[in-house]
Amino acid sequence: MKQCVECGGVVPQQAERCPNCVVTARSSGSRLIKTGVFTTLLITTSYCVPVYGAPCTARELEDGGRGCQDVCETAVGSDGGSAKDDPESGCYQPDGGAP
Amino acid sequence: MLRRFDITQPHRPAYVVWELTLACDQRCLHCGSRADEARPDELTTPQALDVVKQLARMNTFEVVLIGGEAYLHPGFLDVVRALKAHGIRPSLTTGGRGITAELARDLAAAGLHTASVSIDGLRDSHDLFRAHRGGFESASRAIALLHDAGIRAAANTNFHWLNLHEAEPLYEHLRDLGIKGWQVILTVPLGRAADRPGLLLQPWDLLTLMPVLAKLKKRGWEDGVQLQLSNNVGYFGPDEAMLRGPSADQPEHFHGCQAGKLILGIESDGAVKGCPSLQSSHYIGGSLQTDQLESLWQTKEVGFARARTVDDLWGFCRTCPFAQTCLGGCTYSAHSYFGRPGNNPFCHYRVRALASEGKRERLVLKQAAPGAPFDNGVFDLIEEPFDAPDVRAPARLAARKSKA
Repeated sequence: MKQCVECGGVVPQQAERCPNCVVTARSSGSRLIKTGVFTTLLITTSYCVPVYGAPCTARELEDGGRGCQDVCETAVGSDGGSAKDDPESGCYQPDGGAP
Repeated sequence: MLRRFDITQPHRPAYVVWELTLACDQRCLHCGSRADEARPDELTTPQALDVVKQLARMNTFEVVLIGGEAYLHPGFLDVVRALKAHGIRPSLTTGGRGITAELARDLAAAGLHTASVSIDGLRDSHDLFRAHRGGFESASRAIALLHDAGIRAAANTNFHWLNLHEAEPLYEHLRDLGIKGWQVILTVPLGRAADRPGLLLQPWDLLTLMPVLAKLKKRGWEDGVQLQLSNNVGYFGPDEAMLRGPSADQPEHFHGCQAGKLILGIESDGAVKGCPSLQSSHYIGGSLQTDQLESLWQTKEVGFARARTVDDLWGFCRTCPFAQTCLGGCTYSAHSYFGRPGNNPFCHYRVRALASEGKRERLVLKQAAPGAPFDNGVFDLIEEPFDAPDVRAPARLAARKSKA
């Protein structure tokens, strides 16, 4: 038996790779795939969910385009104020500071 | 320096576990031997003393006296003295209920080396599992009395569904009592434990238990407590080298079932097996009432593990990368679930490997045990998605409602 320098696990003499590292890599791969799928879904479905206010795909930005507000200081809140001052916004901080 | 037995040495009954009597002062829910009353034809004290001579001839290193409760055998102290006199290390595993200060002193005077007291969880879990209200106190008191008498005090713990999450506080309790060793065992459906499948762990519980044991193993080195995994706590996970080693700089690993290779079990009526927990229906090679130990040691029933190869394995174990060394892990555990050895789902590597593929294995009782000492039922092994619902009853309910 050998001992893996990566994980400390025991490795059969004839094995080319540490069985425990293979399992860990497969678990990590599986997690990465799951995380990747989840992230892709999240980005796809929420990229245009506004950082502030109503769905921003319909929102006209300051530069004339349409899309999400990516800066909390952007003054395009539904109440006309800054996102960071709006309690409904993810940018809102009770202490008044930006997140 | 502590070392496990050198498993490359020639086969001999180096480590013998001897059930001196089946009489017991507790009726534990998980007892593999279903201990209660003495067996009808137990070895007498003169017969037992003759067995000591036979063990000495076979170069036995240590004998662990068990029961039932070994101290309920009339020749208990005589056997301890005889073992010591023959150069064999006498040890005791006990539930501790009948250990008094006087008995502890007598045991020390007789030459007892180590006494391991069974404590199976914190107060509520232990008392429930041991079917003895106040059992936790009496077992804890026994450790203190043995320790005070100058005997090396140790503890052993069966892990099961009731105490799965109690390892850490239990360790601290035992450490504070002065134990030097702590053997950790998985409860398997042997004897009475087979009657209550709801008390048993499922294989994936190893993902919870093993990291805690790895942490406690390291703490034990700092605290002077040697945590020892029983041979039925499997196997070859990432912490294997550390968990099986006696110290941080002495990595070890599981070497396969040692039944009939370096281990021997003797039942109180003289029946001889390769390991004390093996199923009596399959593994008894004969009796010391009629045959000498030298000849019983050579029987195929006792020496079955000497001839085991990978070809004898099945299921996951057959193609496991550790198969050549592990050879399917603990024989009595596998037999307890499937009625035959060679495939053991209570393996850390196996559980992790399956989990990495999004799978796990569940054991479901298919056929109840008949109700004899060291008997077993038969379980189905069901592979399911790792995130399948866990349908087990909460631990407290399991204790009361799961009787098969």
